[in-house]
Amino acid sequence: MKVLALCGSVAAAVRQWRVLRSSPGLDLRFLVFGTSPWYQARHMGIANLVPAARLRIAGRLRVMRHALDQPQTLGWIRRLAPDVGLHVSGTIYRRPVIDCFRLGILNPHIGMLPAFRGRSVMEWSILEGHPTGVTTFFLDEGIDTGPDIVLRREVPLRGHRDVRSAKEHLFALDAAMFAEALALLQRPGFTALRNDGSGRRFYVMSRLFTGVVDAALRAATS
Amino acid sequence: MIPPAPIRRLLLQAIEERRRAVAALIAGAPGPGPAGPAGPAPARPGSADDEETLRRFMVLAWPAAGRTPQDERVRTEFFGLLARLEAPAMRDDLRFLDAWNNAFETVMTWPAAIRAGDQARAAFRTYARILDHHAARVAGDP
Repeated sequence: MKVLALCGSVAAAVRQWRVLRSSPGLDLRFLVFGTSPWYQARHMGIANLVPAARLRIAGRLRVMRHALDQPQTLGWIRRLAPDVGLHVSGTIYRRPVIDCFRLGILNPHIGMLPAFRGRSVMEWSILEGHPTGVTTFFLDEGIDTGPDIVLRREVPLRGHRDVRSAKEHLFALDAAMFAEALALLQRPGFTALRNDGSGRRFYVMSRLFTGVVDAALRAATS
Repeated sequence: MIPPAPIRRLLLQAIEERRRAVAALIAGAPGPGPAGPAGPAPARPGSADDEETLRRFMVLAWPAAGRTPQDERVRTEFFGLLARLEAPAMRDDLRFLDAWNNAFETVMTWPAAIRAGDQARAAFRTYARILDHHAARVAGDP
């Protein structure tokens, strides 16, 4: 399976590679877009230098100045003809980009779909007494409305004393979730769950309610 | 999963604390008393229209009000949509109450001269009623 990770930085690409390189059956490529190679070289961090150079020499890492939806970038992705994309950046995808991938672009959403769409979903899940977790699904142009869920995992947040720490933990699971989802996609007869739009869309949580969630996490830890 | 009882207790504390902050603001400003002249708006079932109002408020009006509060058109849109979220905010769906929480927190960042305007003072009084409603509701939950 040919997989292209769409990354916001070389450091992010290397972080994905460290986890996914041991996954069987994957032809892994990494695209860092909308940035200059020189900027990335200066900011990737010493620990990422050697892996990044190896990936670059092997033709598996490409850094492009152009934005993702520019013709040069789209042309390069189409020539690569990837099966699956991995969302490892802060970008919003339009249809021409999504259509470059045979199966679509996987997004690790730090909430349980279909119930919790949108922003601050980890905080809202806690406030409303629901399980926290990560849902890996094929995105579309809407806000967490892509219809096919590949993997949904409950992730308890014991030991995290505030929202920031809990969120960082969930975000850091992205590569592991991708690995698991990609393994499922390679399994014969795999059927996606339906993201049926039955949930609600959530928005940025206020400082007042975020304080409640912080206190609830602290109380659960102590 | 964190059990609901401690969350309800923390939620009630937060709402009551915010209610006191809003009451202090209202008490320090000219105009009607803390609870305002009107009773609570009637709660009614949620609708697609309420969802769209919430979306427009949170995605467009609220961020704009944080960026350019000095723009009167921005404030008019902000307070207009906020007023339409009063009735939904009386329901159990906390997203609508939180739109008011966010609105209050943003208004508190505005320059004092803008914050002292009629629209802001009226919104504070409505917000106080909404908080009263939720404090009573959360306190009454088993």
